[in-house]
Parts: sequence; C-alpha cells; structure tokens
Amino acid sequence: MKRILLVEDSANDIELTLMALAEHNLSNEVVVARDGEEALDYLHRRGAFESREKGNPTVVLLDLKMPRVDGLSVLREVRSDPELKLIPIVLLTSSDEESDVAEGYNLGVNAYVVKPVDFHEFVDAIKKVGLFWSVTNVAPPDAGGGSGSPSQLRRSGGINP
Amino acid sequence: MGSDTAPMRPAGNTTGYAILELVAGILGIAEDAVISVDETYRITMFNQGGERVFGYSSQEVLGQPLDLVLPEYFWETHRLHVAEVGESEDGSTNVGERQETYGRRKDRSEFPAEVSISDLDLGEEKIFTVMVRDVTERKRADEALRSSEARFAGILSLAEDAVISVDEAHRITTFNQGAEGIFGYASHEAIGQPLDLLLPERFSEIHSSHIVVFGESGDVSRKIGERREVCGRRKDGSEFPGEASISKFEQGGEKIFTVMLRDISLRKQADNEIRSLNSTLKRHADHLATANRELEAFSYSVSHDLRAPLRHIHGFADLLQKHSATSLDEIGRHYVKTISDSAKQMGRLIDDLLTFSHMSRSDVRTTAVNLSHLAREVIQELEEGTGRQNIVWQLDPLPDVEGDAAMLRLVWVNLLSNAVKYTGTRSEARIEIGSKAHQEEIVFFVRDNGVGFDMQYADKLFGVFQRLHRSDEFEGTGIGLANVQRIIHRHGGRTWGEGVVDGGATFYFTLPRTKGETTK
Repeated sequence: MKRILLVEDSANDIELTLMALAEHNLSNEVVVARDGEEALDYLHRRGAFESREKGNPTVVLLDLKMPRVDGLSVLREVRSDPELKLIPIVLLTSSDEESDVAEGYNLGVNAYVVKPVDFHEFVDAIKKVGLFWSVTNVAPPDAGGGSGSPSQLRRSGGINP
Repeated sequence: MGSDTAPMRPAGNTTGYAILELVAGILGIAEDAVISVDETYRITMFNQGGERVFGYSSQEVLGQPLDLVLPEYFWETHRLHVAEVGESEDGSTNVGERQETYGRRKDRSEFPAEVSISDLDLGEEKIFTVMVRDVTERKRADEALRSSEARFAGILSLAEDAVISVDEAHRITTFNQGAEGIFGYASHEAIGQPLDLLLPERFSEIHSSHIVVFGESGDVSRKIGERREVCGRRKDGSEFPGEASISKFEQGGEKIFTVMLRDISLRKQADNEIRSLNSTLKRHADHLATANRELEAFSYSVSHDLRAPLRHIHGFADLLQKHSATSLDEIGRHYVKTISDSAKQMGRLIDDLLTFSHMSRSDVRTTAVNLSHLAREVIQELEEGTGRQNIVWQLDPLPDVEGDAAMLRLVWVNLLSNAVKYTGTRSEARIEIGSKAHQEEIVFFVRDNGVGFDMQYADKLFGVFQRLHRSDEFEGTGIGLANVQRIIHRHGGRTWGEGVVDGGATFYFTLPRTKGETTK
C-alpha cells in the first residue's frame, strides 16, 4: 500500500513534486491521480481501481484547480464518506486566494500549503509536508492495508532515487 | 316698568288704564330700548331695556334731549323726514323703517344700533317712539362670517388644486382658480355645467356612479383613485392623470359634493424619469458586478495558472543546472541563472499585482486602529529583516483612526520599507513619522533623508508598476505606492509625495477625522 496519494493534473508539477519527495526517499510511497475523478475512483476502489488492495492512504496531497472534479469537490466527497472522512488531506496549490483557504478549512482540510515559485523553497515545502504526514504524524486508524497492486496507476516513471 | 319711570298720559276710562298697564308690562320685558320723546325731542319715557342698553336710569334721562343717547346727525335727518311726513296727509303713523346708526352709552362709548321710529300724532301733540337695538353682537358675527368667507375664498383661489363642488344633479357650483388653471375653463364657463364636462367620456359613467355610491355611504370624505387612476379632461380635450379626494355636506336637505383634484402629470413624468434612471443605474450596476466577477475570475486565474508555469521554469532551470553542472560553462550557467531570476521576478510581480487587486476588491473592515502601534510593529520587523543599525527613527504620537487594520498596516509596510530602501546609501538614515490634525482630516507623513526623487515625475509615484529608479539601483516592482494609494482612497483619504533629488522624500496620506480619536 502506497502511503501518499498525490492528486495533480500538471505533469510538470508531478515531476517536480516527485523530485522533491525523492530527495527524502519518499517517492516510492506515492500514487499519482491525474484529476479529482481519478482520485475518487482510487479512494472508492472503483473503475480502474476496482481491484486495488483495501486501505486508505496516509495522506492525500490535493491540488485545487483541476479539470472535471476539482480539489474542493474531492475534499467535500471524502469528508462526507464514513469510510474516507478521516484521511488527512493537504491542499497543495499555487494560490492562497482567501476564498479557497476559507472554503478548504470549512470543508475540513488538514493543511493548506502554497507551492512557492522558487524551486528551493518548493523542495523545502514538499519535504516538510511529506515527512510530517508520512513519518511524523500518527495516521488515523484504518489508514493501512497491505501492499497493493497499483499497476494501473501512473507512476512517477524514471525519477526514483 | 314702574309707574314712576314712565309717566303715561292717562286715558279716559278703566279699560284705558288696563291697556296702559299691559303696555307698561310689555315695555318692561322688551330687550330693546324703547324711548319716547315729545315734539322738542325731549325724552318722556325710557324703559328698562333702555336702561340696560344705555346705562342710564330713566330719572337721569327724562326731560333730557334725545341727543344724549343718539347722535345729532341721525336726529337731524329724522327731523327733516318727520317734517315731510308731518306734512303728508297720512301723518298719524310711523316712519318705521329700521335704520342703522350709533348709540352713545352713559360711559360715552358708542355702539352700533338699529333704530326704528314711530310717530304718534295726537292732534295737538306728537309723540315719537324710538326703538333702539344694540347690534354689536350681530355685527361681530356678521364680520366673523364675512372674514371667514373671505378667507375661504382666498384659500380657494390660492389653491393649486382644483376645488370643484357639484350639487346632487352633478352640476358644477364651485370652480376655483386652481380648477381654471388645470382644466382651462373659466369659472363662468364651468359653473352650471354637468361634471361630465371635466371627465373623459369613457370615465364619466364610472365617476358619476362613484359619487352616487359615496353620497349614499356614511363617509364624510374619501380619497379617490387610490386603486384606480383618476383621469381628467381639459377644455382642449387633452387628458391628464389626477389624484382626487371628495367630501360631502348637506345644506338645506341637499347634498353638495366637493372634489379636490390635483394634476399629477408632472409627478408621473418625474416618476417615470426616476424609474428610467433607476433601471439605467441598475444596468450599470449589473455591468459593474459582471466586470467585478470577471476581474475576480481573472485574478483567480492569474493566481493559479500564471504561477504554475513559473514554478516549472524555475524548477527545471534549477534541475538543469544541477544535471549539467559539469557540462555548462560560465556563460551557460549565466543563462540558466537569468532564467531562474526572471521567473522569480515575474513571480513577485504576480504576487504584487494580486495583492493590489485584492486591495481593490476586498471589503474594508473598519475598526478603531492604533496607528502608532502598527507603525512600531512594522519598524521592528524592518529592523530585524534588514539588520540595519544606522537608522534613526522618530515616531511622533499618532491619533487613533477608524479603518481596516490589515490594510493600514500595509500602508506603513510600504511607506516605511521604501524609506528604509531609499536611505540605504546613507551613512546615517533618518526616518520621521508624524501627523497633523486639520478640520476634516488628519495628515500623516513619512519623511526620510534618502535619495529623494525628481518632482517632475511626482505624478508617476503612485501608478501601478511605475518606478523612478532602475531595479539595479533599487529593487522593487513598483506596486508599493499604488497599494498605498488604493488603500487610502478606499478609506476616503488622499496621497501625495514631495521630494528633492538626493535631498530626501516625504510621503503624505490623509484619513478622515473620526469621533472620539485620541492621540497615542
């Protein structure tokens, strides 16, 4: 079971984020969903993810602005589902628009992190988030499950450490 | 009347005496003064009414000339008149017509009197009997009535509203000047005509039936047209919207209806204009709201979509540098660094632009703000942030104001960090913060001894992304003062700056005075 679900539509951001996590040996823990719909399919174990192993990720790193189902909609659905509602979710996004921050916390997000333009700051921020939620933080009960078969997931091809 | 007050000529028998007694009784209870005089106009009888009216007792006046109580001029005319009558054949009777004159009381005061005189010709001797009635009260009542009528007529003629009375047959009996003005008929043209004259034909039946219904109702007055528009017709046939009320009263068993009608075409027109202006205003407001929404969407999009590629540029430039550390020569590394720096600069510009846009869009949350406290906080942050030791701060006590604390804090951040930045080349920087209260507003200022600026560019100071220095001289995006101006404008104040090249700069802003401000 992968411990981090990264929900991100931008290939560049996926690459940079995995790069940052790789610096701390966390990239092997990552499952990537390319939009909100795919993220919900993964979490609900349906569609392409029907056969994945049971269990919730330790943390979801969730982009806000995505095609089809956006980050806030994913957050809303996760929080209203008894099976999923305890999953720690971090909004990881380009903007600190006041309305987004407010709405995110209203919907029960666990953290709101703005991705800095400066790559060094960006790496630093991702490192802190990754380490805190997957190592320091104690996950809620049932986060676990054995190692899955995430064969159909888009993986961070070729940039593992 | 006692026998002592009115000596009467005794008649020749008892019946005569009885009649005399009767007459004396009647005279005693008469309200009017009854005075008899002989041919020389000397008073021979003065009844109790006379005593009441004139204030004399009968003893005082018996034998006195009548002039004592009635003015001579009146008497003179009578004398002439009597002379004529006396010469007529039928001289035995009266000159009974009532005449108006003045009576004089014992206290010399005069009063309006109505007098009638009868003559009794006894052959050898003539007796005149004068009946005098004090008509002061009646005169006063008449006067009051006349003045009330005049007042009413004055009001009627002054009223801009049409005041029109109709009788039970709906014929016009009153038509004031207001009605003349509104309908275009002279009153003599309207009076006596049916009310239909003033109504569009399609309404006349309805109006008439209303009057009938109202006539039968218990109401004394009623406003018409509260639910329905009243419509009048002018002499030229044109129609106009009106507002009317009706009242009725009964006179001699006949109902009289009075309608007050106001021409409201001007008001209607004004109403329509207001409605049209309102709808224009609403359209503008809608446009503005749409523009605002678009601006928000735009700014939201900038905030997300423009930052992401910059992050990628910066990230991959960094990765390129690491990846090709050995293969890149100095020029190659310079190129990569330039790409990184430019991306970061654009990131700052976007951030600043978003802040500026935020200052314009977000609500001003007004509270009492301690500006001194805010300034001290910002100074401390700047000292820690820059690590500069060579700044002498002079912070005068500042009054409290009402405003958005977060926004006003940004004003200090921008003005004070500017002062710090542009004094960076000085061996000792002096930065002074103060204020001066005026009648309507308080002027705040930040003065520094930095590099200053050329006043001919003063109008560019507060423009968005306008700079008076190259960024290799002083860093910056040129948004700081634009933010200051935007914030101060939103607080109802003004901003301006004064500077001398290499001679320091002073930036001013004003805030409206508030009640209960105190200096801290």
